[in-house]
Amino acid sequence: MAQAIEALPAAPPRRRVSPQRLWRTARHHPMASVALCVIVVFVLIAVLAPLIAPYDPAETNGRNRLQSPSWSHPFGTDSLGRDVLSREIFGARVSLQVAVLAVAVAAGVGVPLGLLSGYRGGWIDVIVMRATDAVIAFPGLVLALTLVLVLGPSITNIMVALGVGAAPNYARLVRGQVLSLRNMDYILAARSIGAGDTRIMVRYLWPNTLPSVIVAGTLTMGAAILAEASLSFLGVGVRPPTPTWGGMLNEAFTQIYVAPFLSFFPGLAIFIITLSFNLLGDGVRDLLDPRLRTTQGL
Amino acid sequence: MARGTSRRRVLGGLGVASLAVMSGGAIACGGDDDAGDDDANPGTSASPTAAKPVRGGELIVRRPSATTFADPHRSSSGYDPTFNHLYAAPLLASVNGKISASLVESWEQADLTTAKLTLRKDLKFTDGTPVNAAAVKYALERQADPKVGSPRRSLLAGVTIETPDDFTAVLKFSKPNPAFLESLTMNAPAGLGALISPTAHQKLGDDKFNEAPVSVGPFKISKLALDGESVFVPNPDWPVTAPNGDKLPYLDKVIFKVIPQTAVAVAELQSGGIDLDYVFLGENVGQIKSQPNLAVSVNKGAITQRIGMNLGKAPTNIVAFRKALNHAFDREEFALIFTDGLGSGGRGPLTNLTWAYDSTVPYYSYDVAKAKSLLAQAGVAEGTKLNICTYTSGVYPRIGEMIQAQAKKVGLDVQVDNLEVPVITEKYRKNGEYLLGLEGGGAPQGDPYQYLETNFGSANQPGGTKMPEVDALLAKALAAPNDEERKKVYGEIVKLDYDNSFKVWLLESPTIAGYTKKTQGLVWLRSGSAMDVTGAWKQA
Amino acid sequence: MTAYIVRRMLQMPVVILMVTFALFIIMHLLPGDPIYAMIGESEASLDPEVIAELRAELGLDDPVLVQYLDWASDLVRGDLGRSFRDRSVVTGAITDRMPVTLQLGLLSLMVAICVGVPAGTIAAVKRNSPVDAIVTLFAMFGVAVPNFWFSMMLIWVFVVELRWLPASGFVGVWSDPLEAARHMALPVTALGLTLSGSIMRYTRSSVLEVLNQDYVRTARAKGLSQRTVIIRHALRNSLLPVATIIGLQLGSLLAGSIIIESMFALPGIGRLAIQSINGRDYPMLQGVVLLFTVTVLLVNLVTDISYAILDPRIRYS
Repeated sequence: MAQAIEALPAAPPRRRVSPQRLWRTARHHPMASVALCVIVVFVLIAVLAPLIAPYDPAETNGRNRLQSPSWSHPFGTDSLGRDVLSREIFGARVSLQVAVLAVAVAAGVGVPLGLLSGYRGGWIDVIVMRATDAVIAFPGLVLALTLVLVLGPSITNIMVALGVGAAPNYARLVRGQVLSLRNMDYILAARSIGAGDTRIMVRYLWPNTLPSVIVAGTLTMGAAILAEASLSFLGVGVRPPTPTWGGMLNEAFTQIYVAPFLSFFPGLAIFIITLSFNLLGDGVRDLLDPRLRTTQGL
Repeated sequence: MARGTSRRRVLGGLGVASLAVMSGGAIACGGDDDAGDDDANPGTSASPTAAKPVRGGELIVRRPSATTFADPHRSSSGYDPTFNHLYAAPLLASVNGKISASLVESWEQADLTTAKLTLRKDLKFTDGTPVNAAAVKYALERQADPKVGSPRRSLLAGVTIETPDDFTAVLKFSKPNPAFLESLTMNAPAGLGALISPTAHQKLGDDKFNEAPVSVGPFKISKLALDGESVFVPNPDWPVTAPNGDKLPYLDKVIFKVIPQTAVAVAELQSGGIDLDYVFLGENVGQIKSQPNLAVSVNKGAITQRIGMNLGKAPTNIVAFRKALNHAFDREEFALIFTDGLGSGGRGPLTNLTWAYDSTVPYYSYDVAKAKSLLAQAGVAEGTKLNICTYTSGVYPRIGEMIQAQAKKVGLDVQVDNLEVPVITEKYRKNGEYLLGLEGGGAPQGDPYQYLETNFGSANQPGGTKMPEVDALLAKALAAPNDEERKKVYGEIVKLDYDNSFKVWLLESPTIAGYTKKTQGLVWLRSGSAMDVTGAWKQA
Repeated sequence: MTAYIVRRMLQMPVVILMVTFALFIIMHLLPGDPIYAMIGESEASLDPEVIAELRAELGLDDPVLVQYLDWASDLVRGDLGRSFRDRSVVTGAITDRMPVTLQLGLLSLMVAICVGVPAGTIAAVKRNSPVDAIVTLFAMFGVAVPNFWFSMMLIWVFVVELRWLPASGFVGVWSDPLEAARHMALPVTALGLTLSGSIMRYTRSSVLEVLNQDYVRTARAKGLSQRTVIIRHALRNSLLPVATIIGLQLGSLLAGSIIIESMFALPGIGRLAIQSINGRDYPMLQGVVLLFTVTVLLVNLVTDISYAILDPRIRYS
């Protein structure tokens, strides 16, 4: 079988990360550090949404619709007269929820399969790999769209659909790493002292694949937020009245000529958070790759 | 544009009939936007109608979604008629809500169970075969065949066709059917008026015929690309002329171009990529009007949007509950938001576009307190959960959100599901899984029989609820000797709806077209979702 | 190697079978009968006679497994059946639309490479400098905004405001190159920039990796100029994984084409996929997904093989 071409290098056995090194790292990865801060801010916004949102995000007022940004409505009001800022704040909840849970589903399904497939090999490997081929070959958006249509347009179902589509990437990623790890001395040693397969996988292999799974996870989060927007565009967004950035953007799209600001703010939010996830992912990867760790450019 | 009469006259004689009232539930589906049904009501544009038509030129018309069936008998989309009537003109035309000649020289409703059509003698299908009484029989019998899946098949129940000579078709109805001729003024999905060449159809079979339909109309198909750009060129043998005697059509070419996104269509209209789009929303009007080279035509009251209910399930089977719903919605706010003030709140099933409309019928006012007391009277507790389904496109999802927001104010918790058309048909109409359904469709322009039947008759109730009272009134309407008497019966149905609160009539919306000012001679089709471009021409 | 290729080829039909069968099951689970999609929301959709006739005609009466076997045995004969939605021949509809998606996809890929590779290289070389930040932000713009929104912004600027370009329609590059260029400019930019972000990222990390290899250090130690080191050594060796990653972008390309084709009114395969789902057009959707699957599998295979050929360290057993 192919030593799958993975974008991510296999991580070496785990090493402790000291606070000093963290600080040094942050200095050497300014973009990733900023990205991390941005994500933390968005998480706070999402958690505190009911406290900080100035209005009820679902409260309509037709006589106050399509207002340009002002002091009372800093992001303006939408076509139903709802406060865009409040919707944006609550939208952060959904977008982050979709992102995190999609990754959880993807990793939850993909990582065990990857461990099993890589460590045991043989027919399990063949089946898992061909199954991942099958899912990967199935165009992602089509898969997500049909799954959401079958399951119904709830947040849970959307994230399951996105997670299932992403799971094979995790299976392949982990399998690739396990293949390179499984003949390492410490694994062989563990086996020689009688550690069982499950123990080896859970205790020794899985922790070592974790860093790259985290990196992949940050990237999937960005992708999941975008995918939610695409699903809204295709008409299978989260049920109202729950606001989502993708849904807001899609709605704003029809008012693009009368109220361009409506597309601006959700678009910006998606851009910032997706970009942050991507930059964070890159940063974490650089940090974890020992070959890059000491380099500071040419 | 001066109030359309002149434009209308131009087209009236063309014999290009239009669409009609689509069935009550049907709304234009597909595409990203709402479309509806329309009639001549050229609103706000200011192009001089008196100018002498110029020959030549091409017109590019936007369609929001792919054509499914080019075969004029099988078409099921509200957008198709624009397209279909160019090459498959219906048997009869409709002018100002009245039937007029088209492919026929004369027509006669001899009595309630017989109608006679006398065909023009100078018509040929575009494959050269004659348009005769046998072709009329062929077309109607084909649409009655369940295998064809014609959307208005039910209208042909009990209809037989006799052909005493080559150019006479006699229609016999097993029961009184004075509204039948209306259905021949339109093409599918609302009507049955299109003919096809029997020779071509027999040679090709259903599937291949759909790829290259042969019929008769002012244009013929030059290139058919259901999801791309279809091209129509004049049919040189089309004998029907404009009232001033001009040979029609004026244009050298009509191109239909599928552009799914309305926002993109607005851009294309501004940049000259298209000449006409008739499925705009209120929110597009400002942008189009702001362009010096563009004009807008607003066709008021063409669509009604309403909440249908499963009358067989609790709590929507309780009259007091349904009345509470009727008082719960601020229709003026709906009109403001969803029609940009171009439409108005709904007051009942009929609008002033039909002769059966009666402006004195009572309607429900917005009254939260009354709604709450009626809810209490119905024994429906605060926080009761309801579900409503609506379409995924156009204004419908947002109307759904507005319903949800306003229902919350009277203490009802409404879950809104945006569903695709086949799912709505299955879950809402057939299985009755939803208590409420946001419906939309063309308001009737002529005889409202079909419209009332689809909205209130037993055949179309969600979950199959029987409506014996309505059915009896519908039968009474058919047996009525004249329009005057029929109007009274229709009035009784409207009153019955008010008393029982069968539906919540939310909105009367316009259909809106944007076009380049160079484009002249456009007219709204009688109903459906489209404009007629047969008499259109472009200024030099 | 040959044995490996043969085995992979033999496994392909199995994967195809898995995909199409899974799709078949999912399709039948979709709410909304294809008949209702076919005849719309008209009265006929509640007419039992019509429903019965059409179900029989479309073969929907048979058990799902039988329907699948029918489909699969027709497939072996190269017959993908007729669309439920408009009764057109599936293979014909797909081949009609192929050129659209192919033209969009290949041009977008070119744009993505032309933007992504240089941007990734610069970002790696100038790692953590302001240049890196600017280039990264620019290249990532496409990955970080929903492409329907990005498309609309392009339309706003180039169609509505500047009136330079058309926003819709397809012109084949062979029939009228100039018009094709005008029509493809916006969709290709929109899709290309979506892909350039990931290519940029892979290039960046790949170049970084190579820059740390001993031979590059040696080259630098020998006193070669930075430019020479980067172009001769770093870029050349880092492009290999990048090239293979580009192959793997195919999935995103296809997903992107769904949205882009809908935005720019291009009658391609992506839009056909969506129409088929919305129209419950089982045979058409099967056909489209089959095409996607075979393409992705072939590209993956070629990618793996070319990787092995180009990089002698990789061995297949």
